[in-house]
Parts: sequence; C-alpha cells; structure tokens
Amino acid sequence: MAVTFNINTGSDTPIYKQITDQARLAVTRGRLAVGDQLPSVRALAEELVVNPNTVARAYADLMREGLLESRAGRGVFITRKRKIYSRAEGWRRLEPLLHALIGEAMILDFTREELRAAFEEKLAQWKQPKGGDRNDA
Amino acid sequence: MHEESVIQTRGLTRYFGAKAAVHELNLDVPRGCVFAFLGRNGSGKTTTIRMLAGLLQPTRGSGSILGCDIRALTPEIRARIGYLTEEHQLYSWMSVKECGGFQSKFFAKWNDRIFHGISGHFGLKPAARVKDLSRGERAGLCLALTLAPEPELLMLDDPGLGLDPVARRALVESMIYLTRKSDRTIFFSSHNISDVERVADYIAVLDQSVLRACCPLGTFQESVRQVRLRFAGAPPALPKIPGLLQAVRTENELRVTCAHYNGEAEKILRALSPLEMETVPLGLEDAFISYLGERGEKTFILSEMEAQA
Amino acid sequence: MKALIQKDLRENLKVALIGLLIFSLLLLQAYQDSITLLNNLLLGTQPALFNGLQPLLSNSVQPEAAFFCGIFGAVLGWLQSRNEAHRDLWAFLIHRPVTRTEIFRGKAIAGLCLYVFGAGLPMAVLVAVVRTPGHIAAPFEWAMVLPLASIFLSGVAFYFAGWLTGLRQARWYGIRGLGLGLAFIACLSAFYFREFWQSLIVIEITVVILATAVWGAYQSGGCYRGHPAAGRLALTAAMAGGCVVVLCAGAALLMDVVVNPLSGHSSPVVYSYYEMNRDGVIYKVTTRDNESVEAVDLNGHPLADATTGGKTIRAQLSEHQAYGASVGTQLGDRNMALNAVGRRGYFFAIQKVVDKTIWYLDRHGKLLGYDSRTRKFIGSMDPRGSDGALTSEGFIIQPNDLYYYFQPDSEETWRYMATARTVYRADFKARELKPIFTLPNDDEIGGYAVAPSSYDRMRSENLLITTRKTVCLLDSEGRTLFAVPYQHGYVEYPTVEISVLEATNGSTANFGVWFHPDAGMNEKSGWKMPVHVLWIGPGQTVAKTADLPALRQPEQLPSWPDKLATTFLPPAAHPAFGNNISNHWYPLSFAWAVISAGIGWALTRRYNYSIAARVSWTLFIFVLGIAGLLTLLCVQEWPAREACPHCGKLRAVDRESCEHCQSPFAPPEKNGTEIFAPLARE
Repeated sequence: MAVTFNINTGSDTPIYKQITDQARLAVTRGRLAVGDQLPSVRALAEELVVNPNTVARAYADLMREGLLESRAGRGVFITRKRKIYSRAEGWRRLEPLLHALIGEAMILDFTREELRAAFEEKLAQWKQPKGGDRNDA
Repeated sequence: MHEESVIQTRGLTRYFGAKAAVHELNLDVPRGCVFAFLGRNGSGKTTTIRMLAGLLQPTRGSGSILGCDIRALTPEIRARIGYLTEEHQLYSWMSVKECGGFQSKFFAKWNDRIFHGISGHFGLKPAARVKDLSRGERAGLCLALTLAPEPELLMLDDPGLGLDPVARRALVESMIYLTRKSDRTIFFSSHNISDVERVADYIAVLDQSVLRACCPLGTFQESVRQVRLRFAGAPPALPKIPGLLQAVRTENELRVTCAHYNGEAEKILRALSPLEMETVPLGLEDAFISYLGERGEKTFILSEMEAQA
Repeated sequence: MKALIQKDLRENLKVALIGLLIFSLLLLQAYQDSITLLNNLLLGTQPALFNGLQPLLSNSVQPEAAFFCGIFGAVLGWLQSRNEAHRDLWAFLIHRPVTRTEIFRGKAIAGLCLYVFGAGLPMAVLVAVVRTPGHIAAPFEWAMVLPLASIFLSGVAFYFAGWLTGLRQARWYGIRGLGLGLAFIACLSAFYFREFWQSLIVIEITVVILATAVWGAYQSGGCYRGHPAAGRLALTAAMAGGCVVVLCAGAALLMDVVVNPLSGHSSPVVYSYYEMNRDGVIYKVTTRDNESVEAVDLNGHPLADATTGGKTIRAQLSEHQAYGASVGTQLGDRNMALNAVGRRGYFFAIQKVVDKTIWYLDRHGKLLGYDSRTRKFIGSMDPRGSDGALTSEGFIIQPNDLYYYFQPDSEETWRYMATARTVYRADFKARELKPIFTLPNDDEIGGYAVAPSSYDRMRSENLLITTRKTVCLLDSEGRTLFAVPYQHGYVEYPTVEISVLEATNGSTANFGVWFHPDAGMNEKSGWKMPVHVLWIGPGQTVAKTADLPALRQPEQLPSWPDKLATTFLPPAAHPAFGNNISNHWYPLSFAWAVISAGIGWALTRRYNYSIAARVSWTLFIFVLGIAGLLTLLCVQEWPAREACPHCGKLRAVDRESCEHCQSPFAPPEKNGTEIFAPLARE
C-alpha cells in the first residue's frame, strides 16, 4: 500500500475518525490516487489491531463521502471524489483551517504581507493529484 | 445472524455481608460482539463474571448464558464457554505440554493447532513448568487452553492484568483474531482503556455495584463532553446541571464535564455569561475517568494542600 | 474423568509416599517389638502381656495405627482440597464440561487409592508376614485383622473430614474442622464396639455423611444455600457431630482442668467385705479409701485391740488369713471370660513356656504350641475322649487364664486344664494330657482353680471344681477331698470360694466354702441375697452353715463438677449414662435443651424461615441440646436485611420480594448520568 495508517488510542478523536481523516489526507497529499486499492476490512483491522467494526464504520463513512467504493469480489478502491459538499458545507470545513493558519502566523510574528505572498507562492506551485477538481493548475 | 443475547441478566444481585457488590444488574450481551465490562476496582465486575460463570451463587435475581440458567450450568454449556480468570492460575507443577494434554481430554472439540499456535505466539516451551513461567507467559498459556476448544462465548476477567506491553498486544491480537467467526462473542472486563478502545464494540460501566452505562463505544465517547468557560474574573458558582459529572475551577476558568450534553445544559451554562465557551472533545480514557471519578466540583487536591501550608 | 484421577494421583503422590514410609516404619517397629517381647519372655525378665506377641493385637499398635490413619487420612484429604484453594484455580477445575459430581468422584477415587496405598499397603504386608510361618510365634486368625481393619476404615472418615476442612465453604476455618469431630466418633467406634460389624456400621454412616457433605460443597458455589438438600443435611449432621464432640470434650476439659482441682477431693470410697482366717472365724472388714479401718466378727467383737500392740488391722488380719481359691461358674455363658476382658476380644493366652516352647490357649479352646526359636507352630495338645479318639471339645477358658505372669522361680511344667467334662493334668514337658477326673454325662464343669494343699509348703496342687450340681475339691491324682451340692444354683450364686483352714483354736473344720451372690441380681433385689458359707469338717461332712447379710458394692459417685458437665449433654444422652447421673440433674439438662430450642426458634423466626424449616430446626436443637444450637449457628448463613421502601420493615435481601408486603426490590436510583443506548446489530 502506498499509505500506512497510524492510529493512536487515547486521543480525543475516535479511531474510526482517525482512519477516515488519514485516508482523506492521503488522497489530498497525493499518496493515494484514484483506483488505488485499500486493504480489506479484516486485513486492516488485524494490521492496526482494532475491531473490524471500527474499520467497517470508517470505510462506510468514506463510501458515503464518495471517496471509496466497493467492487464486488475485488475489494475497496479509491474513487473519483464527487462533489457532494455544498459550497456552504465546503466553507464550513475550510474555515477552521484558515483560522488556525492565520492565527499561527500571527503568533510567529509574520506580517500580513509575508503571509499573503507565501500563500500565493504555494498556490502557484501546487500540483494537482490525478482525477482532480475543477481547478486545473 | 442470531438475534438473541448470549448473556442475559435480570436483577442480578450479590451481597457480601451487608454490602451489595452487585446491585440489580440488567444486562443483555448480543451474539457476535466484543463487549467490554468496565468499572473501578471493587465495583463488582469480577463478582458479576463469577456469577455468570456459575461459580458464585447470586443473592437474588437471575441470569442466563447461552440460554442456560447460571445457577445450573450444564456440562454441554460449559463446553461452549471459555473462561479466563485474572490471576491466570494453573497447577504449578504441570508443564505446558501436560496442561494441554490435561485440558484436551475433557473437550470433544479440541483444536491442537490453535493451542500450539497461541503457545508459540507467546513463546512457550512445551517442557517449561508453570511455576517457572512469567506472568505474561502464563497468561498466554491460559489463553491457549481457553481458546483451543473453540468456545462460542469467551469470558475474560481482566485478562491484561499485570502483563507487559508485548504480551498485552498479543492478547488483543488474539481477541481480534477470534472475531473472524461472526458467532463468537467476547465478554471481558478490563482497566486498560486503550485496549478497550481498540477492540470493543460495546461497553458497560459499573459504578459502585450499579450499572450506569451500557451502549456502543462511540456513543459513550460522544455522550461525555467537556465544556470550557472562560471568565474575566473568578468564575461564578455552578448551578445545577443535569448530567453533571465534574467541574474544575481555576482562576478564571470553569471546566465542566457532563454526560448527555444537550441544549438545556448549554442554556444554563450560557446564562453564566462567560467570555468564551467552547466544547472540548474527550478521549475515551479521559471520558471514562470523568465518568467514574469523584462527582461534583473539585479543586486539585495538591494545590489545596499547598494553599494550606 | 480419568484425566482428573490421574492429575490428583500425581499431585498428591508425595504425601502418600511419605505416609507409606511412616506407617511402614511404625509397623516394622511393632513387629520388632513383638520379637523383643518374645525374647524377653524366654529370658523371664518381665511379665509378658501376651497380646504383644502378635503384632496385630499389641496394645501399642492399635492406638498408633488409629493415630496414623486418622492423621494421614485427614492430611491427605485436606491437601487434596488445598490444591485448588486459590479461587481462580478452583474456577479452572470447575469450569469444564463435566458435572460437579464427576469432579468430586474423580478426586475421591484418586484420594482413596492413595489412602489405601499409604495406609493399607503396610497393613497388608504386615498381615502377610505374620501369616507366613517362621515369623511370629503366636496363633493367627483372620479375625485378628478386624481391629486393624476397622481402624483403617475409620481413616476414610478422616479423609473426607480433612477434605471438608480444606474447602472454603463455611465462614471460618474452625467451623469446617468440626467434621473431624464426626470422624473422631468413627475412630472411637473402632475401639468401642466388640463386634466388627457394629463399628463398621457406625464408620459407614459417618463416611457417608462426610462424603455427602463434601459432594454438596462441590455442587454449590460456596454458600450453604446453594447446596443440594442431601448436601445440606449431611453438612448439618457433620457439624452436629463435631459440635457434640467439642462440647463434650470442652466440658470434660473444663471440669478436669479448672473446676475439679478447685473444688477439692471427691467423697471417700467406703465399702466392706468378709474375710475368714485360718481358724474359720469370719470378720467383716470395712475400708475407707482402700485402707482397712475396722474388722468386726459375726458376734460383733472387733478385731482391733489395744493389747495386740499397735499393729494395723491389715497386718493383724493377714497374719492368720486363710488362703484359698475362687471360681466363677461359667455355665450360663461360655464366653463370659472372653467378654469380660475388654472390647477388642481375647484371642489367646499363654499357659506355659517350657523348653523354649510357648503353649497358648486360643479362644476356641485349643492348646497350641509354638517353638520360640524357629517361631513356627509345632502342634497342639488335644484332649481325647474316653474311647481314646480325639474329641472336638475345646478347653474351658477362665478369667485367670487371661493374665499370664511369668514366675521365674516356678519350675512347674504342668497345669490343670479342663474340658466340659474332664479334668486333665497337662504336662508340657512330656507334651501329654492325663485325664484325672471325669464327670458323668449329665453334668458339666463350670470352672476350676488351684487351691493350696497345705500352709507349710505352700504348694498349690488341689483343684477346686464347680459343676452344674456340685462343688468339689480334688487332689493332684483326681481324688475327691470333698463334694457338696451347689447351694442355690449357679445362676444366682456364680462365684464359689474356698478357704483352706488350719485351725489353732480347736476347730475341726478343714475348709470354708463360700457361695457369693451375683452382684447385678443382688443389686436389683435390693441387696437381699445373703452370702452362704459352709464349714467342711473331717469326713467331708458339713459342720456348720451360715448366711451372712449381703454387702453393698462400693459406688463411685461422680463429683458435682462432673455432674454439672453432663448437664451440657442433650437429654437424649442421659439414659446412656444410666446411674451416673442422679435425678435432679436431669431437669437441668432438659432446661438447657429448652433454652437452646427457644433461641433457635427465635432466630429462625427472625429470618423468616418457612414453618417446616422452623419446626424441624427447633426439634433438632431440642434433641441435641446446646450442641444443636451451635450447629445451627455454624451451618446457617444469615442474609443481610434492609428496610423495605414500601412497608418500612426489615426484609432479607436474598428474596425476590419483601416477605411482609410482597413488593419487589426497587431498581437502584438514577442520578442523571446514565448512558444507555440500544445495542443494535448493524
């Protein structure tokens, strides 16, 4: 597999959510591409040493999101991310990340101009993962 | 898929002297799940499990395992139940091989492969005497003996007690391996919340001999929430909140933990007019500690002692 | 179950081996002691207690064996249960697909095998050695094995009692140990009863009770209520037995150690008897605490006289005391002598040791000879009938025969022996029986004893014989010196005595003949049967007769502390003690029983037992007295009681509903933090 899941017990995030978060992050980072196969529920459960029902719940969430699909007899695969979030929903998900980024920059005494410049630079450099989104770089 | 419960109790009660160790326990454990039984030391977990195993007579109430009354467990039912005690006691003069030989003669369905597989997994040598084994090795041996007859229901009383992390991980792996068969049920008690978080579907929490929670694992974690309120000056007195578990007061903060945090509780807290109010998610262990810890408002005990000094 | 038996055998083998070793050493020592006794007998260095020549019967072997079997059995049982003392190991044992009864059976079989190995094997070897000729110079009969066999079996009771003691099913250790009291009763019965089958019954009953109690403990999870009914009854019986023993022992100990020394000496023992001196004068002698204090003749003249110069009464009497012989006529009960010897039964007695050959008279009346060097049986001396053929008659056995004292300066190698009809002179050197006197067919010899023939040489060659009809004195050739009819019959007057007279006061009587009444019959008749005395003069004529008033037998009354102790016993036990308890202590014992029963009734009522249970417990306590109440306290577990929210009265927590208002127990109160969600399947 191109991605290894790393779960922690005792964190405030439930295990199933850690799995879904990490899967999503892997897709975003490019480590997982559309068509990549994820391990079966049982195999991942035994690898991570967690209850298979937990993995099943994570996979079910991912499937509901549209990130994962099950192909009969073959396994589970990463799939095209469908636009199932409304704009408002999307902004709602983005908002805390923006808040965290700006807050951190302010604490580190970066000026607004420095931040803006860094942001533009990063965006210019951004490589899209395959099977991408509506912005093509 | 069977819908019936493998373990069912109604009003199960046990007194030791004048004190109730288990008080009116009503439990239903569905087939095929991993069920964790939690509680503080002395809250009645071991007593409950011993009653379920037919080793201790209840003072009143009833219970059934696999459809059989716990006061009269038949040999056939016992063959289908695996029971592991926390002390992992075995006859100290027997060797590993002799333990396996002894146990196998009692069960019609004895899987030698499983026995050797698990003993190998824990690194047990056939000729080693039980008295020379470490605690972890003994636990592995007990586990091998319990799992080899392939029981439908596995009852484990604090199986990880005193085990080193490697042995404990091997134990959890064995439990997950067991869930391969969908009709196998595991009922276990534990103090190790991280293992419980890994492996349990449902949990039940005993608080001073009374059952206070019985729900899926996720539900428990979602139900216990901590709210942090920040004030300009000293925090005000705390009004009565339904489901309040704990409250910690610092110089200008009030941290309130409650179960079933909902609109009503939120309204009461907002009425205190804090500067800031945010809900903090809790890890399972913290939630559990809050749930079973001292109720009510508390200050940290050591700072109190410092203040007095 | 075989695996369980094997496991228990393996686990407890060490204990059994140690026991085997100890017991083998004990029995080997007993064997050695009998050889030593044999050698000592031949050297004549001490009086021989003949039992010891047969190791199976020696007076030390049986208590030692009882001690060993009891302790070994109890330790074996106790260790067998302590193997699973840890509650998790108990869980490991119980939680397997076999019934509890099978688990109990498996352990019991293993334990009993080990017991037989450790306690039975050495005994069997000893019996085998004894049976083999060349080892023991004493008769052997299979009946001799029975005492040891019953001791061996009583150890089984100790085994189960020890097992019971180790099971954690009572509230504290001491109570569980009460089962040992019942086992102790089994052990006592092995010594108390005359017949093997009697002690066997008692032992069997105790074994069944104790084994059932152990079985019941395995059925339950550890509390009394969980036992099946049979187990509960057995446990109660075992505890009751233990309580009775403890109570008796405790009362006896208290009295002996604490009260009796404080209360001073018991009342003195005073009694009187008749004595004849060589002149034929009879004195009535009174003793107080075994010291002669008074002697009065039949005319009322006292013996003690200031002029006789300060000698004690005893000294004066013995100067002129007439010697003689006494015979107990055993026609009513041929086994009277045997029965009188004691519970374990008499098997043989030494008659003579001549030329290194020991001659025994066994209980069948056969005279058997054993060579002391080869330790082998060499033959018997059997009486022949008048036609010269061997008869199957055995010799009569008398009480005197049962005590053999080796007299170093006695060189006599013969003695008188008698069958039912003939008196023989048994010559042990020549190994011959010479008949010297035969009765007619319609008469039978009841008893005989040697009497002195004269005072200057103190030889005892005359023989006093009693038969159904007569009393006669024979000389060593069998000639009759005198014969008189048996006065008043042997049933009422079984004891006949003669006093050999050598008068110095001019009296011509040669012998005094006494007819003593049977003590039991005399007591029943209120001491009205007199003692008949005849004086035989020259020419075998009766010169004079006299009837002396009967003298009461001395009574040993128990002291008041002992009487107080017996009041602790249940009323039912009093008939067993018979005369020892005077009547006005009996109500006290009754009172104890009533008080205990009352307390028992109150307790069972407080905990709301069913009427049937209340009544049966109260009756039980009444029958057993204080011991019954102690049993109730030991055996019952008292459930906690809580106030019922509906009716306010205290109710036992182990019932589903309140016994006063029938309302069920309320579920615990909620505190608002409960988290309950359905456990759904996805």
